[in-house]
Amino acid sequence: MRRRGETQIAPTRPCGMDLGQGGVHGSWTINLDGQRKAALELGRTRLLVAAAVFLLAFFAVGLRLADLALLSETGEPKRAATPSAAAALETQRAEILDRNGQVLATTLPTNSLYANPRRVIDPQATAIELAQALPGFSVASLQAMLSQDTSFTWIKRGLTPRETARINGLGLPGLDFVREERRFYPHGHLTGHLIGYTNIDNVGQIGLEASFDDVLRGSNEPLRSSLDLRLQHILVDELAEAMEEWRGVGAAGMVLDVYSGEILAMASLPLIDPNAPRTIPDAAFLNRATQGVYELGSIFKVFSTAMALDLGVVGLTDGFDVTHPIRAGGFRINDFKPKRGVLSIPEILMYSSNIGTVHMTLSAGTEAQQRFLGRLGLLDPVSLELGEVGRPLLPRVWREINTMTISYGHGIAVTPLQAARAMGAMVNGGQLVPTTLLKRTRGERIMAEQVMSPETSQKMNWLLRLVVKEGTTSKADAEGYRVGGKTGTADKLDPNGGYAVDKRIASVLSAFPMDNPRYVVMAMVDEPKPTDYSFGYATGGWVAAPVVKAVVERMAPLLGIEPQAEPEESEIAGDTWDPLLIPANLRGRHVAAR
Amino acid sequence: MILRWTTLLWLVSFAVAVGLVFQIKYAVQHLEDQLAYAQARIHNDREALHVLRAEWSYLNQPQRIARLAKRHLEMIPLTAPQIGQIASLPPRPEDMDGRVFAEGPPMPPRHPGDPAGLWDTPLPQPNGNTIDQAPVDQVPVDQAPVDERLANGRPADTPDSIGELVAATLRPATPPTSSTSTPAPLAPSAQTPTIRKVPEPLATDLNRLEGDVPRNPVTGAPLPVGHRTLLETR
Repeated sequence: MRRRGETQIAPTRPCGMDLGQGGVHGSWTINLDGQRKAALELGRTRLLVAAAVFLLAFFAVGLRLADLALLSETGEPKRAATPSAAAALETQRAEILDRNGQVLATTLPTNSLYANPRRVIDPQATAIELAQALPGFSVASLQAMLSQDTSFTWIKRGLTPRETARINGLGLPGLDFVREERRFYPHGHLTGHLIGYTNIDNVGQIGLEASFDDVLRGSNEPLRSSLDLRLQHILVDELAEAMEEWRGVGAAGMVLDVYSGEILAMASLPLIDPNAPRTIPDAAFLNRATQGVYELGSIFKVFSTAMALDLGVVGLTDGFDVTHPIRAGGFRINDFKPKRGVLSIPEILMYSSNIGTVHMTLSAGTEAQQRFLGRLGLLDPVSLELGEVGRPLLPRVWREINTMTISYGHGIAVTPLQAARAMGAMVNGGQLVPTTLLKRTRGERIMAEQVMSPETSQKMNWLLRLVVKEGTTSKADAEGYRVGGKTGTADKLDPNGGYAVDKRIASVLSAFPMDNPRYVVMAMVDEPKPTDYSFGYATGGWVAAPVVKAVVERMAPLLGIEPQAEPEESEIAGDTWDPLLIPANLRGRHVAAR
Repeated sequence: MILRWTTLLWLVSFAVAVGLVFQIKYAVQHLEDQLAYAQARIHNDREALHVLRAEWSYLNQPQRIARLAKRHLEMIPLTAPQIGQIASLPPRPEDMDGRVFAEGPPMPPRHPGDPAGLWDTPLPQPNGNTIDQAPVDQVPVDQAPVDERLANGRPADTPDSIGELVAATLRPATPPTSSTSTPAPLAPSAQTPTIRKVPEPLATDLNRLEGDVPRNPVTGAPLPVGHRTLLETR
């Protein structure tokens, strides 16, 4: 009950607050004064503020509701947003594929087995059962592991799915798996040098794995290499056979697309197995195709001839007397199979005459030679997506004697890749195309450099074909595929100075099909020994040329190159030149500056 | 009295709303469980696909395929002379029905509608003897029905490159004994009709092997070649 004495009740409405029905006078208000009144007023204001805040909040909620229910355009999604099942699994490191999509390197989720020895009930029985499931583990070592007084010990990391299933099936207490990712190379040693491998922490160590480490870790997009697994197999197969047959210490080879500069196959024997990097002997790490530098011998005669023809200092019908050896600075330059008399330029290349080549190069001069070899990219290291790229060995001072020896490939050591790239420029119309280990996209613009005239390239095509048809490289003539190329045999340098007597490099640099060259094929065998049936020879023509032939015969059907008969070279009546010496497609024109 | 109908209405609607909210909540939870399950399965499948792709690549190692092909297939590598163009093939003998060949009168049609009385007369042989019945595939050339397309005939010595090509392909099919060993008696008696042999269809590989092919004991169908090799090598 309210006491009337203390409060004054009046039918007024302060602050507009209706306190409801009550009392005898109908609606009434309470008027307080003094301290009480002030407290009540304060409470009233607070209530008002709170009410306003709540009103605003409810209003906001209401607005949002209306927005969601009425105004928002997007309805409830019909399907939960999940990436499609076809999308690749997210792994820590992206895959590497070959040009046709075959997996060359992938990251597999694997299980690693560990044990908690304190929970293992019967170490001996567990060890026996485990040893049966895990080949390569002895019962004794497992039992020692399981009897330790710890709560964690690795047993094996990176189990195969089969091993996981087997151990799971045993149902042994105290053992458990941890999910880990492991790099796996399905094709193993076939692409060992090029793809490389990673360490246990999945960091690339050599090859593409090392040079594209960041890219591979950064995305899930597979890296497409330019390699063609089928060609790689063919190349490795043939090189291994040749290396075994001629008892070489190593071999190298490659297949190059002359227009795109893509490396379709590249091998360096002995191979390395990226799945077991610890077992690789140190000597095998050398990538002979990109890292090793070699004096390639007569192969350089191709470049010397191209230089002389391109500069116009000689024409195809010119000749040089090769009867007498050249003496210069205490050296004597002789021919492997000496000829007598004057040889024409095609014959000099055909019979691989050192004397003729030296004469030819001397008529162009040292500077021209330096400039031309520089333009062919033979004096600088190749830029390639590999860390393992060798730097060519050049003479410190380029004297005339160096010019002479370099003209036939001695006194300069280059990587096989450099030579193959320069060969590409010889046959593709004179353009030096940058080489790559990544697949080029269709229609990609390639920065190629014109290093010699297309006419010279055309003449070189004819000359190279001639060398295979009539000359030293005849064992490389794959029937129907118009192979052209040049052999090279160079003595290896002796560590004690000078040249070693019976250690040589036998190589062939070739291209095919010569009427429209598409591919450069290179094969090289390191230190071949003569066999019983090679009459004491272990030259490029005996050792490496059959490899090129076999590789071309096996790869051409895969690449869709049609075997064709040799295009006939019609003879022109009344021609004063020996018609054999002028290519059919150049006849009737002004051939070269005389 | 104070508890009015409106209050009751609010209470009821509140209860209904609460009920609905809970129902939706559980439905969503159920769907989310299903989604998580599906996503887990998708992940597992994707992982399996990933591993299987690696395994597929591993099983497709070229050296392994080469080894298997060597063991199980009776094939040798393709050589360049085996590759040709369709355009450079000679026409099939079947397509040459009724054409005139360069060397002589037209070949009989391959499937001649039997002209009346043609087969009744015994055929004279080149050596003068007659045989009782002509082999079905031997037709006397001068009695053979002439293709009306070539009724006007072109001179026999007109060069006909296609005809020669076909004739060249046909020659090995004829037995060389009778026709080639005795050309001399033919020359004076120009009237003697020469016998041309219509080639038998070449025996296919299956036909040749018919005799000693191991057969499926149930259906009698010859077992595939690869199967046979497997059995032999074991």
